[in-house]
Amino acid sequence: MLGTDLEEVPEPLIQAYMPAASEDEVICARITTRTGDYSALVQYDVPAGTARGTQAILAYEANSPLAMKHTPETGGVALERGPCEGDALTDLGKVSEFYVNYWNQAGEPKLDDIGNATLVMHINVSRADSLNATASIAGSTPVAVPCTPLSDPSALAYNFECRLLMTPGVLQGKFGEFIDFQYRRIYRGNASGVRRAHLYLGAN
Amino acid sequence: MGAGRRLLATLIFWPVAGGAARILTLTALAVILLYYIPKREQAISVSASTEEMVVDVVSNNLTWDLPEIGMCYQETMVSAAEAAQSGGLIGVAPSQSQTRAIEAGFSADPAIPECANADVIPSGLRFANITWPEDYTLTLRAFREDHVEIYVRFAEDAAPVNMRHAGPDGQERTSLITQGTTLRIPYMAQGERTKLPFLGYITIGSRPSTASSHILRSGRYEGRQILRNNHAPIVSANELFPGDRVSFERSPAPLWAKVFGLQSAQEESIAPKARAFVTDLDPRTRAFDVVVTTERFFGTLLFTRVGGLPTDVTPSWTARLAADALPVALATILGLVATLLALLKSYIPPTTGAENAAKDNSLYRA
Repeated sequence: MLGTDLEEVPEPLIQAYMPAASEDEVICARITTRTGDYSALVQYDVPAGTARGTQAILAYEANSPLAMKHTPETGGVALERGPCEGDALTDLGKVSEFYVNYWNQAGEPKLDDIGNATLVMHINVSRADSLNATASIAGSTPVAVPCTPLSDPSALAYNFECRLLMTPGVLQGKFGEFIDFQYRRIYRGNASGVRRAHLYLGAN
Repeated sequence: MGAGRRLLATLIFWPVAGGAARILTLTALAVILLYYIPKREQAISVSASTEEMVVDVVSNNLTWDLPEIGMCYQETMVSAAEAAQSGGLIGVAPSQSQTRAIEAGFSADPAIPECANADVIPSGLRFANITWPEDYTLTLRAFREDHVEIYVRFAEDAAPVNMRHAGPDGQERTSLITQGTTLRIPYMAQGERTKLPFLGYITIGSRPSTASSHILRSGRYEGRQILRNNHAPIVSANELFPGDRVSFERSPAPLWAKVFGLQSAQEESIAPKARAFVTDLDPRTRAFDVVVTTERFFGTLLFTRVGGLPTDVTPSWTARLAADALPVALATILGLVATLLALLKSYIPPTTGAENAAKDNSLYRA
Protein backbone atom coordinates (compact mmCIF):
# COMPACT_ATOMS: atom_id res chain seq x y z
CA MET A 1 0.00 0.00 0.00
CA LEU A 2 1.30 3.44 -0.82
CA GLY A 3 1.33 5.40 2.40
CA THR A 4 2.07 9.03 3.04
CA ASP A 5 5.75 9.82 3.16
CA LEU A 6 7.54 10.20 6.46
CA GLU A 7 10.20 12.83 6.88
CA GLU A 8 12.51 10.52 8.68
CA VAL A 9 12.53 6.76 9.12
CA PRO A 10 14.79 5.99 12.10
CA GLU A 11 14.30 2.22 11.92
CA PRO A 12 12.65 -0.17 9.45
CA LEU A 13 8.90 0.20 9.73
CA ILE A 14 6.24 -2.22 8.57
CA GLN A 15 2.64 -1.44 9.47
CA ALA A 16 0.14 -4.08 8.60
CA TYR A 17 -3.42 -5.20 9.05
CA MET A 18 -3.36 -8.37 11.09
CA PRO A 19 -5.22 -11.60 10.46
CA ALA A 20 -7.77 -12.78 12.98
CA ALA A 21 -6.06 -15.36 15.15
CA SER A 22 -7.97 -17.74 17.36
CA GLU A 23 -4.76 -19.47 18.35
CA ASP A 24 -1.11 -18.49 18.04
CA GLU A 25 -0.14 -18.09 14.40
CA VAL A 26 2.82 -16.87 12.43
CA ILE A 27 3.13 -14.56 9.45
CA CYS A 28 6.13 -14.20 7.22
CA ALA A 29 7.48 -10.92 5.86
CA ARG A 30 9.49 -11.23 2.68
CA ILE A 31 11.18 -7.89 2.21
CA THR A 32 12.96 -7.05 -0.99
CA THR A 33 13.91 -4.10 -3.13
CA ARG A 34 13.53 -3.88 -6.87
CA THR A 35 17.26 -4.02 -7.51
CA GLY A 36 17.76 -6.75 -4.93
CA ASP A 37 20.28 -4.59 -3.06
CA TYR A 38 18.44 -5.29 0.18
CA SER A 39 16.32 -8.21 1.24
CA ALA A 40 15.22 -9.74 4.51
CA LEU A 41 13.03 -12.55 5.76
CA VAL A 42 11.34 -12.05 9.12
CA GLN A 43 8.80 -14.25 10.85
CA TYR A 44 6.33 -12.77 13.33
CA ASP A 45 4.03 -14.33 15.89
CA VAL A 46 0.40 -13.33 15.89
CA PRO A 47 -0.92 -13.86 19.40
CA ALA A 48 -4.24 -15.61 19.93
CA GLY A 49 -7.18 -13.28 20.26
CA THR A 50 -5.97 -10.78 17.63
CA ALA A 51 -8.92 -9.24 15.82
CA ARG A 52 -8.86 -9.18 12.04
CA GLY A 53 -7.76 -5.86 10.61
CA THR A 54 -5.93 -4.69 13.73
CA GLN A 55 -3.15 -2.42 12.60
CA ALA A 56 0.16 -3.42 14.10
CA ILE A 57 3.71 -2.22 13.78
CA LEU A 58 6.05 -5.03 12.86
CA ALA A 59 9.48 -4.10 14.08
CA TYR A 60 12.72 -5.80 13.22
CA GLU A 61 16.35 -4.95 13.50
CA ALA A 62 18.27 -4.25 10.36
CA ASN A 63 21.95 -3.60 10.13
CA SER A 64 21.78 -1.90 6.75
CA PRO A 65 20.79 1.74 6.18
CA LEU A 66 19.04 0.52 2.99
CA ALA A 67 16.32 -1.04 5.14
CA MET A 68 15.04 2.43 5.95
CA LYS A 69 15.59 4.02 2.55
CA HIS A 70 13.09 2.10 0.46
CA THR A 71 9.33 2.51 0.13
CA PRO A 72 6.72 0.61 -1.91
CA GLU A 73 7.87 2.67 -4.90
CA THR A 74 11.25 0.92 -4.90
CA GLY A 75 10.57 -2.31 -3.08
CA GLY A 76 8.04 -4.02 -0.94
CA VAL A 77 7.03 -6.39 1.80
CA ALA A 78 5.02 -9.49 0.98
CA LEU A 79 3.35 -10.38 4.25
CA GLU A 80 2.02 -13.88 3.99
CA ARG A 81 0.15 -16.03 6.46
CA GLY A 82 2.19 -19.01 7.55
CA PRO A 83 5.82 -19.69 8.34
CA CYS A 84 8.70 -18.52 6.13
CA GLU A 85 9.04 -21.53 3.89
CA GLY A 86 9.55 -21.57 0.15
CA ASP A 87 8.50 -18.74 -2.11
CA ALA A 88 5.35 -16.71 -1.94
CA LEU A 89 2.63 -17.64 -4.40
CA THR A 90 4.31 -20.41 -6.31
CA ASP A 91 1.82 -23.23 -6.55
CA LEU A 92 -0.98 -23.33 -9.04
CA GLY A 93 -4.27 -24.01 -7.34
CA LYS A 94 -3.07 -22.74 -3.99
CA VAL A 95 -4.65 -19.56 -2.68
CA SER A 96 -2.14 -17.60 -0.68
CA GLU A 97 -3.18 -15.10 1.96
CA PHE A 98 -1.41 -11.78 2.06
CA TYR A 99 -1.85 -8.81 4.36
CA VAL A 100 -1.79 -5.32 2.97
CA ASN A 101 0.95 -3.29 4.61
CA TYR A 102 2.82 0.01 4.65
CA TRP A 103 6.57 0.08 4.45
CA ASN A 104 8.72 2.91 5.76
CA GLN A 105 5.78 5.25 5.29
CA ALA A 106 2.99 6.46 7.55
CA GLY A 107 0.30 3.86 8.17
CA GLU A 108 -2.38 5.62 6.19
CA PRO A 109 -2.94 5.61 2.46
CA LYS A 110 -1.52 8.30 0.23
CA LEU A 111 -4.44 9.52 -1.87
CA ASP A 112 -3.98 10.69 -5.45
CA ASP A 113 -5.55 13.88 -6.85
CA ILE A 114 -8.98 12.31 -7.14
CA GLY A 115 -8.78 10.72 -3.73
CA ASN A 116 -7.97 7.12 -4.57
CA ALA A 117 -5.61 4.91 -2.63
CA THR A 118 -3.04 2.76 -4.46
CA LEU A 119 -2.13 -0.83 -3.79
CA VAL A 120 1.14 -1.86 -5.42
CA MET A 121 1.90 -5.51 -6.11
CA HIS A 122 5.37 -6.65 -7.09
CA ILE A 123 5.53 -9.93 -8.92
CA ASN A 124 8.48 -11.90 -10.19
CA VAL A 125 7.51 -14.06 -13.15
CA SER A 126 9.78 -15.88 -15.50
CA ARG A 127 8.94 -16.23 -19.17
CA ALA A 128 6.20 -13.65 -19.33
CA ASP A 129 5.55 -11.01 -21.94
CA SER A 130 2.68 -9.56 -19.98
CA LEU A 131 0.46 -10.31 -17.04
CA ASN A 132 -3.27 -10.50 -17.30
CA ALA A 133 -4.39 -9.65 -13.78
CA THR A 134 -7.81 -9.11 -12.28
CA ALA A 135 -9.07 -8.10 -8.87
CA SER A 136 -12.44 -8.27 -7.18
CA ILE A 137 -13.68 -7.66 -3.68
CA ALA A 138 -16.52 -9.42 -1.88
CA GLY A 139 -17.92 -10.96 -5.01
CA SER A 140 -17.82 -7.84 -7.17
CA THR A 141 -17.23 -8.01 -10.92
CA PRO A 142 -13.46 -8.39 -11.49
CA VAL A 143 -11.60 -5.39 -12.87
CA ALA A 144 -8.45 -5.64 -14.95
CA VAL A 145 -5.35 -4.55 -13.06
CA PRO A 146 -2.66 -2.81 -15.10
CA CYS A 147 0.68 -4.60 -14.75
CA THR A 148 3.84 -3.08 -16.17
CA PRO A 149 6.92 -5.10 -17.05
CA LEU A 150 10.05 -3.57 -15.53
CA SER A 151 12.46 -3.74 -18.43
CA ASP A 152 15.15 -1.81 -16.58
CA PRO A 153 18.13 -4.18 -16.25
CA SER A 154 18.58 -3.29 -12.59
CA ALA A 155 15.14 -4.72 -11.74
CA LEU A 156 16.40 -8.06 -10.55
CA ALA A 157 14.25 -9.04 -7.58
CA TYR A 158 10.94 -8.76 -9.40
CA ASN A 159 9.98 -7.84 -12.94
CA PHE A 160 6.32 -6.81 -12.89
CA GLU A 161 4.55 -4.09 -11.00
CA CYS A 162 0.76 -4.08 -10.78
CA ARG A 163 -1.12 -1.07 -9.42
CA LEU A 164 -4.68 -1.27 -8.24
CA LEU A 165 -6.51 1.90 -7.37
CA MET A 166 -9.34 1.90 -4.89
CA THR A 167 -11.71 4.40 -3.44
CA PRO A 168 -10.92 5.11 0.22
CA GLY A 169 -14.40 3.79 1.00
CA VAL A 170 -13.11 0.30 0.30
CA LEU A 171 -10.67 0.54 3.17
CA GLN A 172 -13.34 1.71 5.58
CA GLY A 173 -16.40 -0.04 4.25
CA LYS A 174 -14.94 -3.44 3.43
CA PHE A 175 -13.25 -3.92 6.78
CA GLY A 176 -11.80 -7.38 7.06
CA GLU A 177 -12.63 -8.24 3.48
CA PHE A 178 -10.05 -9.42 1.02
CA ILE A 179 -9.25 -8.58 -2.55
CA ASP A 180 -9.33 -11.66 -4.72
CA PHE A 181 -6.31 -11.14 -6.96
CA GLN A 182 -5.69 -13.45 -9.90
CA TYR A 183 -3.20 -13.40 -12.69
CA ARG A 184 -2.15 -15.37 -15.71
CA ARG A 185 1.17 -14.86 -17.36
CA ILE A 186 1.11 -14.46 -21.11
CA TYR A 187 4.07 -15.71 -23.05
CA ARG A 188 4.29 -16.07 -26.82
CA GLY A 189 0.56 -15.64 -27.06
CA ASN A 190 -0.23 -18.41 -24.63
CA ALA A 191 -1.72 -17.91 -21.19
CA SER A 192 -0.58 -19.98 -18.23
CA GLY A 193 -2.82 -21.26 -15.45
CA VAL A 194 -4.35 -18.87 -12.94
CA ARG A 195 -2.46 -17.96 -9.81
CA ARG A 196 -4.48 -16.60 -6.99
CA ALA A 197 -4.05 -14.65 -3.80
CA HIS A 198 -6.29 -13.09 -1.22
CA LEU A 199 -5.12 -9.68 -0.12
CA TYR A 200 -6.59 -8.75 3.25
CA LEU A 201 -7.44 -5.17 3.96
CA GLY A 202 -8.04 -3.39 7.17
CA ALA A 203 -8.92 0.12 8.11
CA ASN A 204 -7.53 2.89 10.19
CA MET B 1 68.55 37.20 -6.73
CA GLY B 2 70.18 36.93 -10.13
CA ALA B 3 69.61 33.17 -10.35
CA GLY B 4 65.91 33.46 -9.60
CA ARG B 5 65.34 36.15 -12.17
CA ARG B 6 67.30 34.19 -14.74
CA LEU B 7 65.15 31.09 -14.11
CA LEU B 8 61.98 33.15 -14.50
CA ALA B 9 63.27 34.69 -17.71
CA THR B 10 64.18 31.24 -19.03
CA LEU B 11 60.72 29.89 -18.28
CA ILE B 12 59.05 32.80 -20.03
CA PHE B 13 61.35 33.08 -23.00
CA TRP B 14 62.24 29.41 -23.46
CA PRO B 15 59.34 28.59 -25.75
CA VAL B 16 59.93 31.60 -28.03
CA ALA B 17 63.58 32.29 -27.64
CA GLY B 18 64.66 28.79 -28.51
CA GLY B 19 65.30 27.32 -31.88
CA ALA B 20 62.90 26.11 -34.53
CA ALA B 21 63.06 22.56 -33.16
CA ARG B 22 61.78 23.77 -29.83
CA ILE B 23 58.91 25.61 -31.47
CA LEU B 24 58.06 22.58 -33.54
CA THR B 25 58.08 20.33 -30.47
CA LEU B 26 55.81 22.68 -28.60
CA THR B 27 53.47 22.97 -31.56
CA ALA B 28 53.27 19.20 -31.79
CA LEU B 29 52.48 19.00 -28.09
CA ALA B 30 49.76 21.63 -28.45
CA VAL B 31 48.31 19.80 -31.45
CA ILE B 32 48.19 16.57 -29.49
CA LEU B 33 46.51 18.23 -26.53
CA LEU B 34 43.93 20.10 -28.58
CA TYR B 35 43.39 17.42 -31.15
CA TYR B 36 43.27 14.19 -29.20
CA ILE B 37 42.25 15.02 -25.66
CA PRO B 38 38.74 16.43 -26.33
CA LYS B 39 36.07 13.74 -26.49
CA ARG B 40 34.93 12.84 -29.99
CA GLU B 41 31.74 11.48 -31.37
CA GLN B 42 31.93 7.83 -32.22
CA ALA B 43 29.96 5.40 -34.30
CA ILE B 44 29.83 1.91 -32.86
CA SER B 45 29.21 -1.25 -34.85
CA VAL B 46 28.24 -4.56 -33.34
CA SER B 47 28.11 -7.83 -35.18
CA ALA B 48 26.55 -10.60 -33.15
CA SER B 49 24.81 -13.89 -33.22
CA THR B 50 22.00 -13.64 -30.70
CA GLU B 51 18.67 -15.09 -29.68
CA GLU B 52 17.13 -11.85 -28.50
CA MET B 53 17.10 -8.24 -29.58
CA VAL B 54 14.82 -5.30 -28.76
CA VAL B 55 14.20 -2.40 -31.12
CA ASP B 56 12.31 0.78 -30.30
CA VAL B 57 11.42 1.98 -33.75
CA VAL B 58 12.14 5.65 -34.36
CA SER B 59 11.58 5.83 -38.09
CA ASN B 60 8.24 6.53 -39.63
CA ASN B 61 8.83 4.62 -42.82
CA LEU B 62 10.56 1.41 -41.93
CA THR B 63 9.03 -0.93 -44.46
CA TRP B 64 9.38 -4.68 -44.72
CA ASP B 65 8.46 -6.64 -47.81
CA LEU B 66 8.37 -10.28 -46.89
CA PRO B 67 7.52 -13.28 -49.05
CA GLU B 68 5.96 -15.00 -46.06
CA ILE B 69 4.95 -14.22 -42.50
CA GLY B 70 3.07 -15.99 -39.74
CA MET B 71 0.89 -13.99 -37.42
CA CYS B 72 -1.13 -14.84 -34.37
CA TYR B 73 -3.04 -12.89 -31.77
CA GLN B 74 -3.19 -13.09 -28.05
CA GLU B 75 -6.79 -13.81 -27.28
CA THR B 76 -6.34 -12.65 -23.71
CA MET B 77 -5.36 -9.18 -24.78
CA VAL B 78 -8.85 -8.66 -26.13
CA SER B 79 -10.93 -10.28 -23.46
CA ALA B 80 -9.85 -7.78 -20.79
CA ALA B 81 -12.92 -5.68 -21.51
CA GLU B 82 -14.24 -5.57 -17.96
CA ALA B 83 -15.79 -2.62 -16.23
CA ALA B 84 -13.33 -0.03 -15.10
CA GLN B 85 -14.71 0.20 -11.59
CA SER B 86 -16.39 -2.40 -9.48
CA GLY B 87 -16.93 -2.68 -5.76
CA GLY B 88 -14.65 0.30 -5.13
CA LEU B 89 -11.72 -1.23 -7.01
CA ILE B 90 -10.60 0.77 -9.99
CA GLY B 91 -8.95 -1.19 -12.73
CA VAL B 92 -8.35 -0.41 -16.36
CA ALA B 93 -10.83 -0.04 -19.11
CA PRO B 94 -9.85 -1.83 -22.29
CA SER B 95 -7.06 0.07 -23.91
CA GLN B 96 -7.48 2.04 -27.10
CA SER B 97 -5.66 -0.61 -29.03
CA GLN B 98 -7.86 -3.32 -27.59
CA THR B 99 -10.91 -1.32 -28.53
CA ARG B 100 -9.48 -0.85 -32.00
CA ALA B 101 -8.92 -4.58 -32.24
CA ILE B 102 -12.43 -5.30 -31.13
CA GLU B 103 -13.81 -2.82 -33.63
CA ALA B 104 -11.70 -4.33 -36.38
CA GLY B 105 -13.34 -7.61 -35.48
CA PHE B 106 -10.27 -9.72 -36.09
CA SER B 107 -11.27 -12.43 -33.68
CA ALA B 108 -13.82 -13.47 -36.28
CA ASP B 109 -11.09 -13.47 -38.94
CA PRO B 110 -10.32 -17.09 -39.81
CA ALA B 111 -7.05 -16.11 -41.50
CA ILE B 112 -5.48 -14.98 -38.23
CA PRO B 113 -5.35 -17.77 -35.69
CA GLU B 114 -4.61 -17.58 -32.01
CA CYS B 115 -1.14 -18.54 -30.91
CA ALA B 116 -2.12 -22.10 -30.21
CA ASN B 117 0.97 -24.07 -31.15
CA ALA B 118 3.95 -22.23 -29.79
CA ASP B 119 6.50 -23.62 -32.23
CA VAL B 120 4.78 -23.74 -35.57
CA ILE B 121 4.47 -20.85 -37.98
CA PRO B 122 0.72 -20.30 -38.12
CA SER B 123 -0.83 -20.22 -41.59
CA GLY B 124 1.76 -18.44 -43.67
CA LEU B 125 0.54 -15.17 -45.08
CA ARG B 126 2.11 -14.35 -48.44
CA PHE B 127 3.67 -11.13 -49.69
CA ALA B 128 3.37 -9.27 -46.45
CA ASN B 129 4.12 -5.57 -46.37
CA ILE B 130 4.45 -3.79 -43.02
CA THR B 131 5.48 -0.23 -42.32
CA TRP B 132 6.45 0.39 -38.71
CA PRO B 133 5.92 3.85 -37.31
CA GLU B 134 7.41 5.38 -34.17
CA ASP B 135 6.59 4.19 -30.66
CA TYR B 136 6.56 0.50 -31.61
CA THR B 137 8.75 -1.85 -29.63
CA LEU B 138 9.72 -5.02 -31.44
CA THR B 139 11.20 -7.84 -29.40
CA LEU B 140 12.90 -10.43 -31.59
CA ARG B 141 13.34 -13.84 -30.04
CA ALA B 142 14.51 -17.07 -31.52
CA PHE B 143 12.86 -20.24 -30.28
CA ARG B 144 13.40 -22.45 -33.33
CA GLU B 145 16.04 -22.94 -35.98
CA ASP B 146 13.77 -21.96 -38.84
CA HIS B 147 12.08 -18.74 -37.77
CA VAL B 148 12.35 -15.69 -35.60
CA GLU B 149 9.47 -14.53 -33.46
CA ILE B 150 8.62 -10.86 -33.09
CA TYR B 151 6.55 -9.71 -30.16
CA VAL B 152 4.95 -6.33 -30.80
CA ARG B 153 4.16 -3.72 -28.16
CA PHE B 154 3.37 -0.08 -28.75
CA ALA B 155 2.51 3.11 -26.92
CA GLU B 156 -1.19 3.76 -26.52
CA ASP B 157 -1.11 6.81 -28.76
CA ALA B 158 0.93 5.17 -31.51
CA ALA B 159 -0.44 5.11 -35.02
CA PRO B 160 -2.17 1.84 -35.95
CA VAL B 161 -0.31 -0.48 -38.29
CA ASN B 162 -2.09 -2.41 -40.98
CA MET B 163 -0.18 -5.21 -42.60
CA ARG B 164 -0.98 -5.78 -46.25
CA HIS B 165 -0.73 -9.38 -47.37
CA ALA B 166 -2.28 -11.97 -49.61
CA GLY B 167 -4.92 -14.05 -47.90
CA PRO B 168 -5.36 -17.79 -48.31
CA ASP B 169 -7.61 -17.14 -51.29
CA GLY B 170 -4.91 -15.04 -52.96
CA GLN B 171 -6.81 -11.80 -52.53
CA GLU B 172 -4.96 -8.85 -51.03
CA ARG B 173 -6.18 -7.86 -47.62
CA THR B 174 -5.01 -6.02 -44.51
CA SER B 175 -4.64 -7.16 -40.93
CA LEU B 176 -4.35 -4.86 -37.95
CA ILE B 177 -1.32 -5.35 -35.73
CA THR B 178 -2.65 -5.26 -32.18
CA GLN B 179 -0.95 -4.94 -28.83
CA GLY B 180 0.82 -8.20 -28.10
CA THR B 181 0.68 -9.54 -31.64
CA THR B 182 3.23 -12.23 -32.31
CA LEU B 183 4.76 -12.42 -35.77
CA ARG B 184 6.74 -15.44 -36.89
CA ILE B 185 9.08 -14.80 -39.77
CA PRO B 186 10.85 -17.72 -41.46
CA TYR B 187 14.60 -17.33 -41.99
CA MET B 188 14.25 -18.78 -45.47
CA ALA B 189 11.09 -18.23 -47.47
CA GLN B 190 10.53 -19.33 -51.06
CA GLY B 191 14.23 -19.98 -51.48
CA GLU B 192 15.20 -16.50 -50.36
CA ARG B 193 17.05 -15.46 -47.28
CA THR B 194 15.04 -13.08 -45.11
CA LYS B 195 16.77 -9.81 -44.28
CA LEU B 196 14.98 -7.52 -41.85
CA PRO B 197 16.07 -3.88 -41.63
CA PHE B 198 15.63 -1.85 -38.44
CA LEU B 199 16.09 1.76 -37.43
CA GLY B 200 15.71 2.67 -33.80
CA TYR B 201 17.11 2.31 -30.31
CA ILE B 202 18.56 -1.15 -30.16
CA THR B 203 19.48 -3.55 -27.37
CA ILE B 204 21.11 -6.86 -28.27
CA GLY B 205 20.98 -9.87 -26.01
CA SER B 206 18.84 -10.26 -22.96
CA ARG B 207 19.35 -9.46 -19.36
CA PRO B 208 21.46 -12.11 -17.72
CA SER B 209 18.86 -13.75 -15.51
CA THR B 210 17.25 -17.09 -15.03
CA ALA B 211 13.96 -15.70 -16.28
CA SER B 212 14.99 -15.80 -19.93
CA SER B 213 16.46 -18.58 -22.00
CA HIS B 214 17.64 -16.26 -24.74
CA ILE B 215 21.24 -15.25 -24.89
CA LEU B 216 23.70 -13.50 -27.09
CA ARG B 217 25.92 -16.30 -28.38
CA SER B 218 28.92 -14.45 -29.70
CA GLY B 219 29.85 -11.19 -31.28
CA ARG B 220 32.24 -8.32 -31.47
CA TYR B 221 32.05 -4.56 -31.41
CA GLU B 222 34.16 -1.77 -32.75
CA GLY B 223 34.00 1.94 -32.09
CA ARG B 224 35.18 4.39 -34.70
CA GLN B 225 35.87 8.00 -33.99
CA ILE B 226 35.92 10.57 -36.71
CA LEU B 227 39.20 12.42 -36.43
CA ARG B 228 39.43 14.12 -39.81
CA ASN B 229 37.55 14.03 -43.08
CA ASN B 230 37.12 10.43 -44.18
CA HIS B 231 39.42 9.23 -41.50
CA ALA B 232 37.68 7.22 -38.78
CA PRO B 233 40.09 4.87 -37.08
CA ILE B 234 38.93 2.11 -34.74
CA VAL B 235 39.52 3.35 -31.22
CA SER B 236 37.94 0.49 -29.32
CA ALA B 237 37.21 -3.06 -30.35
CA ASN B 238 36.69 -6.30 -28.56
CA GLU B 239 34.86 -9.60 -28.43
CA LEU B 240 31.50 -10.07 -26.75
CA PHE B 241 30.97 -12.97 -24.40
CA PRO B 242 27.97 -15.29 -24.42
CA GLY B 243 25.20 -13.80 -22.30
CA ASP B 244 26.24 -10.18 -22.73
CA ARG B 245 23.55 -7.59 -23.14
CA VAL B 246 24.66 -4.72 -25.29
CA SER B 247 23.10 -1.28 -25.59
CA PHE B 248 24.26 2.21 -26.44
CA GLU B 249 24.08 5.26 -24.27
CA ARG B 250 24.63 8.93 -24.89
CA SER B 251 26.68 11.02 -22.52
CA PRO B 252 26.42 14.82 -22.35
CA ALA B 253 28.22 16.51 -25.21
CA PRO B 254 31.45 18.22 -24.13
CA LEU B 255 31.50 21.97 -23.88
CA TRP B 256 33.64 22.48 -26.98
CA ALA B 257 31.08 20.68 -29.13
CA LYS B 258 28.29 22.83 -27.78
CA VAL B 259 30.30 26.01 -28.32
CA PHE B 260 31.17 25.16 -31.91
CA GLY B 261 27.80 23.57 -32.66
CA LEU B 262 29.51 20.36 -33.71
CA GLN B 263 26.85 17.90 -32.70
CA SER B 264 25.57 15.73 -35.47
CA ALA B 265 22.37 14.84 -33.62
CA GLN B 266 20.04 16.31 -31.07
CA GLU B 267 20.30 14.95 -27.58
CA GLU B 268 16.67 14.34 -26.93
CA SER B 269 17.13 10.63 -26.27
CA ILE B 270 19.28 8.60 -23.92
CA ALA B 271 20.30 6.21 -26.68
CA PRO B 272 21.60 7.01 -30.14
CA LYS B 273 19.69 5.86 -33.19
CA ALA B 274 21.08 2.75 -34.77
CA ARG B 275 20.55 0.92 -38.01
CA ALA B 276 20.54 -2.83 -38.08
CA PHE B 277 19.74 -5.75 -40.24
CA VAL B 278 18.88 -9.21 -39.12
CA THR B 279 19.40 -12.39 -41.04
CA ASP B 280 20.22 -16.01 -40.30
CA LEU B 281 23.61 -17.24 -41.42
CA ASP B 282 23.79 -20.51 -39.54
CA PRO B 283 20.67 -22.66 -40.00
CA ARG B 284 21.91 -25.17 -37.40
CA THR B 285 21.41 -22.79 -34.48
CA ARG B 286 18.28 -20.98 -33.51
CA ALA B 287 20.18 -17.70 -33.11
CA PHE B 288 20.00 -15.05 -35.77
CA ASP B 289 22.75 -12.75 -36.93
CA VAL B 290 22.60 -9.02 -36.56
CA VAL B 291 24.81 -6.13 -37.58
CA VAL B 292 24.11 -2.83 -35.85
CA THR B 293 25.74 0.52 -36.51
CA THR B 294 24.88 3.58 -34.48
CA GLU B 295 24.82 7.14 -35.68
CA ARG B 296 27.74 9.33 -34.60
CA PHE B 297 27.18 10.25 -30.99
CA PHE B 298 28.90 11.33 -27.81
CA GLY B 299 28.60 8.31 -25.62
CA THR B 300 29.48 4.73 -25.24
CA LEU B 301 28.61 1.10 -25.68
CA LEU B 302 27.19 -0.29 -22.48
CA PHE B 303 27.29 -3.95 -21.73
CA THR B 304 25.85 -5.96 -18.89
CA ARG B 305 27.65 -9.19 -18.27
CA VAL B 306 26.70 -12.00 -15.94
CA GLY B 307 28.13 -11.33 -12.52
CA GLY B 308 29.26 -7.83 -13.34
CA LEU B 309 27.98 -4.33 -13.08
CA PRO B 310 27.06 -2.54 -16.31
CA THR B 311 30.31 -1.53 -17.94
CA ASP B 312 30.93 1.11 -20.54
CA VAL B 313 33.75 1.22 -23.03
CA THR B 314 34.73 4.82 -23.46
CA PRO B 315 37.89 5.20 -25.51
CA SER B 316 40.52 7.35 -23.82
CA TRP B 317 42.49 10.08 -25.56
CA THR B 318 45.48 7.75 -25.68
CA ALA B 319 43.37 5.32 -27.72
CA ARG B 320 42.56 8.10 -30.17
CA LEU B 321 46.21 9.01 -30.33
CA ALA B 322 47.36 5.44 -30.81
CA ALA B 323 44.76 4.74 -33.48
CA ASP B 324 45.85 7.67 -35.62
CA ALA B 325 48.88 7.57 -37.91
CA LEU B 326 49.31 11.32 -37.77
CA PRO B 327 51.29 11.54 -34.51
CA VAL B 328 53.65 8.83 -35.73
CA ALA B 329 54.14 10.72 -38.98
CA LEU B 330 54.66 13.96 -37.07
CA ALA B 331 57.17 12.34 -34.76
CA THR B 332 59.11 10.97 -37.71
CA ILE B 333 59.15 14.31 -39.50
CA LEU B 334 60.10 16.17 -36.36
CA GLY B 335 62.87 13.69 -35.70
CA LEU B 336 64.21 14.17 -39.21
CA VAL B 337 64.05 17.94 -38.90
CA ALA B 338 65.81 17.82 -35.56
CA THR B 339 68.53 15.57 -36.93
CA LEU B 340 68.93 17.84 -39.94
CA LEU B 341 69.28 20.88 -37.71
CA ALA B 342 71.76 19.14 -35.50
CA LEU B 343 73.81 18.19 -38.54
CA LEU B 344 73.58 21.72 -39.88
CA LYS B 345 74.73 23.11 -36.56
CA SER B 346 77.74 20.81 -36.44
CA TYR B 347 78.92 22.16 -39.83
CA ILE B 348 78.99 25.74 -38.58
CA PRO B 349 82.45 26.58 -37.28
CA PRO B 350 82.54 27.48 -33.58
CA THR B 351 82.62 31.16 -32.83
CA THR B 352 83.92 33.05 -29.86
CA GLY B 353 82.13 36.42 -29.84
CA ALA B 354 78.65 36.90 -28.46
CA GLU B 355 77.63 38.85 -31.55
CA ASN B 356 78.65 36.01 -33.81
CA ALA B 357 76.76 33.55 -31.69
CA ALA B 358 73.61 35.61 -32.06
CA LYS B 359 74.15 35.74 -35.82
CA ASP B 360 74.63 31.98 -35.95
CA ASN B 361 71.41 31.44 -34.06
CA SER B 362 69.52 33.39 -36.67
CA LEU B 363 70.71 30.94 -39.30
CA TYR B 364 68.39 28.25 -38.19
CA ARG B 365 65.70 30.25 -36.61
CA ALA B 366 63.71 30.55 -39.81
